[in-house]
Amino acid sequence: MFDIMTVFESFIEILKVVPKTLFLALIILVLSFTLGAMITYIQSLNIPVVKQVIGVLQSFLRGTPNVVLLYLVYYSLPLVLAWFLGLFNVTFDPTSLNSTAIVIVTFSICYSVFQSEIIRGALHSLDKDQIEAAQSLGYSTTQVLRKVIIPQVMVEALPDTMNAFLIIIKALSLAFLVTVVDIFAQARLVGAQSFSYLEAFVAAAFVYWGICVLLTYVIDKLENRMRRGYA
Amino acid sequence: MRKLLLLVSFTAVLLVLAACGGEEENAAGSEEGEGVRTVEVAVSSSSRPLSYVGDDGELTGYEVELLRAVDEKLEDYEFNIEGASDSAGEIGLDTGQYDLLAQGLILSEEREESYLIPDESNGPSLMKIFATGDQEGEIESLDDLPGKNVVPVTPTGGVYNLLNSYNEEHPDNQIEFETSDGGIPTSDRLQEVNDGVYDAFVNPSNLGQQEIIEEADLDIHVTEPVEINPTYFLIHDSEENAELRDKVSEALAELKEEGVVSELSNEFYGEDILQYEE
Repeated sequence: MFDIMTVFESFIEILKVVPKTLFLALIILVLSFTLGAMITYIQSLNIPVVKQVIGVLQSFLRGTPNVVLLYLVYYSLPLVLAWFLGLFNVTFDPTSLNSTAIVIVTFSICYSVFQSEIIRGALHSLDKDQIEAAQSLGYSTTQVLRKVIIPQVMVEALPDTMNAFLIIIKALSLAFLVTVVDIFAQARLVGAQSFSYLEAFVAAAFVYWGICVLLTYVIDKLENRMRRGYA
Repeated sequence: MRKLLLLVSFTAVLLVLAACGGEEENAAGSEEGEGVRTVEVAVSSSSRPLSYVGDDGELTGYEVELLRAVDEKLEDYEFNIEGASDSAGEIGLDTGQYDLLAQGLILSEEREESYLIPDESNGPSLMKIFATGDQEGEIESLDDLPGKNVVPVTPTGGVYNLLNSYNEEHPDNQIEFETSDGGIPTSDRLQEVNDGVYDAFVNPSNLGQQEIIEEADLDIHVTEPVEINPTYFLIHDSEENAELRDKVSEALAELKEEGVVSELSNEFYGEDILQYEE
């Protein structure tokens, strides 16, 4: 009943969508990182009302499951976009919205909150004296950012960001809801064709695991290189 | 070295898991060989009116009530009916976790090979096309679907098989369609067809669409059945289930004769679907 050859065949089939899935996850990671950095920055400014509004938004995003957000965006994004573009007299057909766009928007917003926490934590780990030392040496703000803050914060945030990347890859299995085919969705399609779901899912598990092992290895190497001179 | 150990232990766990899937069925069967045997039955829990959770929190629906009627006829068996999602049901049937699966399933070559199938169907499923109102005359059959925007199809469903086999038979007239998880409810799909997001929605007509269309006052053109398929209960392929299969076939034949099937059909579908059965 359990056929190891089918697992292998499914594995090959599933590998075909890995580049696409990784690329999609990377876009989401970059967008959510940028959004997260913006959130951290705005929060650090301590503007009264804005701070509270963002706080509520953060807790909302943190507390709602991805699948709920995906449904919300699927149903509301086309309408919101049509309304928004309508303000600038641009006509937009809400039905023409690409499903990949829905996935990117949902997950970028969702993970920006977690990214902002990662960035905040990394910033905290930075020794304030270093900034003062740099300033006393006459560094400009940009120079302090470029030479002192970013290189160290990057290293601190790297493992957590990597973790977020893996989480995004796994979370993308929800994207099939709106027709975006990722690793897990491909496994279901392969399983449906041969009626051997168990084999296809075992293959999918191995693909996910393989990606995780590979990425962990690469990032370990990268982190070690970046830490050189700071440790 | 530690990494190697980890790898070995992980593979071991996986192999054990795979082996368990195979053994479970035998163990469960031999223990309950005497007296009344409990049959694990999986149905979909959100396919109204086929099978759904009613107001009282209990499973009900055409197939569920039919299963209960079959259960009453079989003295040696006791059905334990559980709700499961589509692919979970099919995987459970593969591994022997469930003995019987009822999801309004139509036959395919793979299914005939993998499972035991009763001789008697549990009623036909009518595949219809639900098209945007202004497509009347334009969309009447599957031949009209190429070039149209078709609602994404679940890969576990019969629609997927239907469209795929159509495309295989008509290389010059390909229907383009996307696949998706079955998460968007039928009512919202119909709304999308109404709004023109999609032109056509191929769907078995026994999911309560007519009710939805009437209630929400949608402008949707429903075609004649494009395909009529008898649906079957699928039974996990094992020696002891062979008898169950024969008993279920007998019971279904009797229930059809006694008019119970027509009664249930009228109750849940508002028409006697047996009239479409050849």
